[in-house]
Amino acid sequence: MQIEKRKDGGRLAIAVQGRLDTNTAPELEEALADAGVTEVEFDFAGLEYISSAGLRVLLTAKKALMGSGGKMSVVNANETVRGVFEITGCSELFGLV
Amino acid sequence: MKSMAQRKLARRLVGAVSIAFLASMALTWMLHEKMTSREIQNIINNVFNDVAVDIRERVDARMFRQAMVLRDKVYEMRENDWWNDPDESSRRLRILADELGVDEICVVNADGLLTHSARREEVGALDFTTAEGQAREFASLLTDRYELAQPLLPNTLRGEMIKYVGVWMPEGGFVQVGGREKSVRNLARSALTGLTHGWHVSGDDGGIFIATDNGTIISHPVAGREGGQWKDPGEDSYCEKRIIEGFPVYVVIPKRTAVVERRLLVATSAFLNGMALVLASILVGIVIASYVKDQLALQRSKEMSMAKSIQESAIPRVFPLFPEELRMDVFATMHTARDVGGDFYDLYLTGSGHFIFMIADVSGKGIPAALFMMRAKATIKGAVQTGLPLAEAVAEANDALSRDNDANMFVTAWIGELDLAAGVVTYVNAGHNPPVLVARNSAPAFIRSRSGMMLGAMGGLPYTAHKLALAPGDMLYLYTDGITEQPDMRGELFGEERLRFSIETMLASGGVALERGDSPLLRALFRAVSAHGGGAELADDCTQLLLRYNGDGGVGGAGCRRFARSFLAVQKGVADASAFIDEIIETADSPKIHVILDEIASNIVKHSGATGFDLAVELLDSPAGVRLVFTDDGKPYDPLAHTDPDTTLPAEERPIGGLGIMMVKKMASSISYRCAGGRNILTIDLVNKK
Repeated sequence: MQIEKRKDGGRLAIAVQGRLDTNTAPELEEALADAGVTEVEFDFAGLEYISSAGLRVLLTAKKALMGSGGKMSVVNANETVRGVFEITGCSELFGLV
Repeated sequence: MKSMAQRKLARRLVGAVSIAFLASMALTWMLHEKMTSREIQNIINNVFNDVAVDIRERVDARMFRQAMVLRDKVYEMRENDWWNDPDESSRRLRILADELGVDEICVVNADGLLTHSARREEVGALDFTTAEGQAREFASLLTDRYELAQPLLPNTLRGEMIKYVGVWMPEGGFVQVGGREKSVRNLARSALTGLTHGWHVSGDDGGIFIATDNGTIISHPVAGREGGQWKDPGEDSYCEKRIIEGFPVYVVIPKRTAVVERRLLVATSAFLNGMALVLASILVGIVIASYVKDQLALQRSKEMSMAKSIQESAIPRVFPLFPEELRMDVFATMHTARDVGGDFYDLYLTGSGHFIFMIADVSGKGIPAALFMMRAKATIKGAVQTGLPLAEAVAEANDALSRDNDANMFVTAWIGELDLAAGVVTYVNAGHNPPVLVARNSAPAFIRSRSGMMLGAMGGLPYTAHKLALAPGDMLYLYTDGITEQPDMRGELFGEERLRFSIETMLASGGVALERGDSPLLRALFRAVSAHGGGAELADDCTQLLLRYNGDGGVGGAGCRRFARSFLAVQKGVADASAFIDEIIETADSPKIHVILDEIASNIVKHSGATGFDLAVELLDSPAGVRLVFTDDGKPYDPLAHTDPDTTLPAEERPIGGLGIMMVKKMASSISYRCAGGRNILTIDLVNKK
């Protein structure tokens, strides 16, 4: 998995490539441990699939942002990832575009 | 059988013991030499003491006789008038002294006063009761003694060396005679004649000689030999001279006597020393023998490990052996016993779309078996690769192995040739144990065809090939007799039926037979055989081979393709399983399979307490799809028995986690759980959506 971060003030754009599962989720969690972020955009154009371990990281991020009144969105997700979001009812929660 | 090393050690031991023996003998000899001369000196001293007492007694007795003659004369003489005339009495006593052969005569009255003497000037000059020196002792004759003899002593009045003896007179007083050394010797000379007759000193040969001043022998050990001159006995004898009462006395001990005694002593101690050393060397020998035995055992175990490595180097050990060949899977294991047997197996593809698989067991053990095994393996392979029909190739190999087989070794073998396209196995059995056919739709069964002779026993024999058709998924299990003939504590063998039954139950309880690169079934069977042996050492090499025909997927699409592998129940195992999926699957459904794998495998890793899990992937043909079978040895857990989390809750109310199983259930076409043989078995089907 590859993670590309771009920070612009309180806005963080993260592009994730590869697979987001139990093996790689800790990496993403680490990448999100940035203070002072109020808006996060996940670019999943290169993401092959996401498992519940990845969802857990997103959920943790969402909860943290909600506590500080921040926003979160997911863009460019493929069909598999969208399917997972739909199955788990996370599409709206994670701001899937 | 004694080794060179043993003989060398024995020679050294004998050498060391001999040196020790000689050294101890030399020491003993020296000690005895010293002890003997001391002993002889003791004997000589004792003899001198004894002979001195005897000589003095004789001399004293001779002097007493003169004293008693004197006393008788005094009784006569004092009747005369002149007795009271000192001049006359002294003159007459002087004459008497000469007659008696003495130098002094003294007559003492009851008061102790010297009243008469052969010396006129001494009459009345001495009072014995008050006298000093030599004379004083004689006062005892006045009160409590009858007689007294003194050795030569300086006399009280003149200081001259005189030997005095005295005898009492019943009416009071006493008489004394005294003599200078020469006079005493003259008097005593006759008394000493024959004193030492028959006086044996240290055996019969020693003796005591008494001589005079001028060397005339007056007492000889042999009666009648007196009168001769004393002659030194020379080197053959110990000889010592002492002067006793003026007489030279010789004690003679022939060395011969002493030496004989010493030799006896030395011989005795030599015998004892020898015994002790022999005993010691026997003990040392035993210690060395056990040491040598250990060394030999060590050497033997080195040889054994060499045989083991010859054996192991000759067989394919890396699986999957032919990763590109998907029409069959094969796995084999060999566990060598301590006394290496000659098991081997061989696996190779021929150019003509056939796969040769064989298992064999060479008679005998150790290096000879290992070497014959190398030869057998090469010979059989060479014959099979000529392209001859299998039966003829085996007959050729048998002829070749029977030639120049001086050691009369032989090998049993089961050789199969699988037609990868048709699934037909052509096989020849050369005296080997019957394999087990594990077909998909029937119970495991032995293939008992008529067997040919074992290879290498006799040339010129024909072999017959048999045929066996395998359906995709069918397996063949080959083994050596180390498996079936492993005894338990009571000697009962593992046996064919237990083997067949073990295969059946292991597979029925969801056990994975074969994965790419491993075979849980073979490992489980080996564990069962080991357990049967009670954990003791293997009785013989245990070799197993498992072949599965997967079907010729490329042609007719008949049947399925199945892949399986075991993973450790740690995060790394999940990653490995993911890589395993990548290895075998390239379809549009692969992300879904990965998600399912990640959910199930990470659940097993985190929550089941399992040590490992097996993943089997079956490619289904109708309907097309994939079946995933997860098996783990963790605590029983049915993931389907849990209610799904509520996905309509807002984020802050949702529990983190718990979504995984729900995702799997929604993605899968069908999912089922069962618990069998202490293992969780979860089967998930994904059917391709067209």
